[in-house]
Amino acid sequence: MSLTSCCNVKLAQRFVCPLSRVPGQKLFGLRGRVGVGERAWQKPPLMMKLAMPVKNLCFTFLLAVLLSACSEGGKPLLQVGEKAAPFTLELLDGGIGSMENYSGKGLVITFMSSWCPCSNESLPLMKQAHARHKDDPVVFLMVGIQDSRSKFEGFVKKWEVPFPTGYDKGDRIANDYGVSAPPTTFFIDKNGIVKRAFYGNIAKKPDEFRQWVKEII
Amino acid sequence: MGGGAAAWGGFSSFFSIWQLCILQISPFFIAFITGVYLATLLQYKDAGILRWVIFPCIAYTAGFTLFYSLLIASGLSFSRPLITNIGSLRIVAGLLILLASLYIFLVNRNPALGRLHRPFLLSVLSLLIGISFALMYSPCITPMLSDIMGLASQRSTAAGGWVLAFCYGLGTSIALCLVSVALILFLGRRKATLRAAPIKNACGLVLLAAALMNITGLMRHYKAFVLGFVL
Repeated sequence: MSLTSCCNVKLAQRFVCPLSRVPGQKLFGLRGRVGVGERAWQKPPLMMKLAMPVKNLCFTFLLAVLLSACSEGGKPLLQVGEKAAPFTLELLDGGIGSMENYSGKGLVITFMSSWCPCSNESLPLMKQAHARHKDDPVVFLMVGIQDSRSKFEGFVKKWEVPFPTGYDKGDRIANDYGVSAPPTTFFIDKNGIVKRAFYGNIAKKPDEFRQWVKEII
Repeated sequence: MGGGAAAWGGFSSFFSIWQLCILQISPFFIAFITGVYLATLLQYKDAGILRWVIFPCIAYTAGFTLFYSLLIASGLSFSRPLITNIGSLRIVAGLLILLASLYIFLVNRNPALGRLHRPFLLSVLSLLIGISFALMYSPCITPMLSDIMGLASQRSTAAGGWVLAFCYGLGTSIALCLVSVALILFLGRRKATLRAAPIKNACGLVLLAAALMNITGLMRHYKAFVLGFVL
């Protein structure tokens, strides 16, 4: 190898593209070395071009999640002892369910899904309680979440649910109430204050359930 | 309830009737880890399980457990915006799962992408997949999780509830990883290598389906029809 060609390679190595192979440089796990007679600058292949945007996307995802978590949420999630969030729900029978419609009455609002085993187990107890308190100032309301509308309608028919039911399109009410999983039940008194929140199969706590319904009447 | 009991509760729920709910994520994670490992086998014949499967599983567990517990602990101020923005975050999660599926499809076809295939990169990808799966998962409320959520949803007890939720999620995640590793060992290196390419592509397709369902909002239909059918 002549001295001139050796110098040319060294000179070329100073002007390499960041994505080309550089002696000792590690880029996305790549380690390469420019050999004598090899071109120091290479057109980056398509996947190498994509590597940077993909890396940026991953970084953006983590950043978005963290920023989302650090930002102040637009609406505070529901807490026991606080005023319940207002909502408007289109009922399956064509009516409208809202906090205003139920003012002056206790409200048992339960978020359920047709595919959830606990929702299926909870319903008989809910129906019993509804029958027991038919003449009391308390409303039972079932909200379908994380479900398809048709399956939820089938679920309501299958169980012959006797109280108002509605499908929460886009889980907007569920998000306002901080519900991440079905079944979740809130007990709201006649003043609109959340007295209790219960997560899971209410049929496992029948005595407490009866007591909590009485508390809001 | 202690952390150990919560972790055991999460672990045992995986092998019970509650597996129905974990079907929201379990087939997709198994497809991810199997697809990636088969892609590795096509690249390196002597790919070790520890570097190529166990480390990614640990990274997945870390990402999944952290975000799963944060989403359960709705009483924490840090969790609230996550829950409020869950719809948008699920779409971003779907995009990341889409990238993972494309990675599985293309890693052996493109030499440049193949050179990127390293245990570290795979672990980072697994961490992001763990976070994505936590965002797309809506857990069934087992009796133990019911108690944990009761604590984690109220401000005064949210921190303690979060720790228990973390332990519960850790148990579930460990069970899922153990099953995945067992499946990979069961397939056996030689047997898997014979049909590695088609199995790997099938895994990529399963992951692609998960990604599209997240992006388009069809995941609710997956839950309604697939889980509902099993139920």
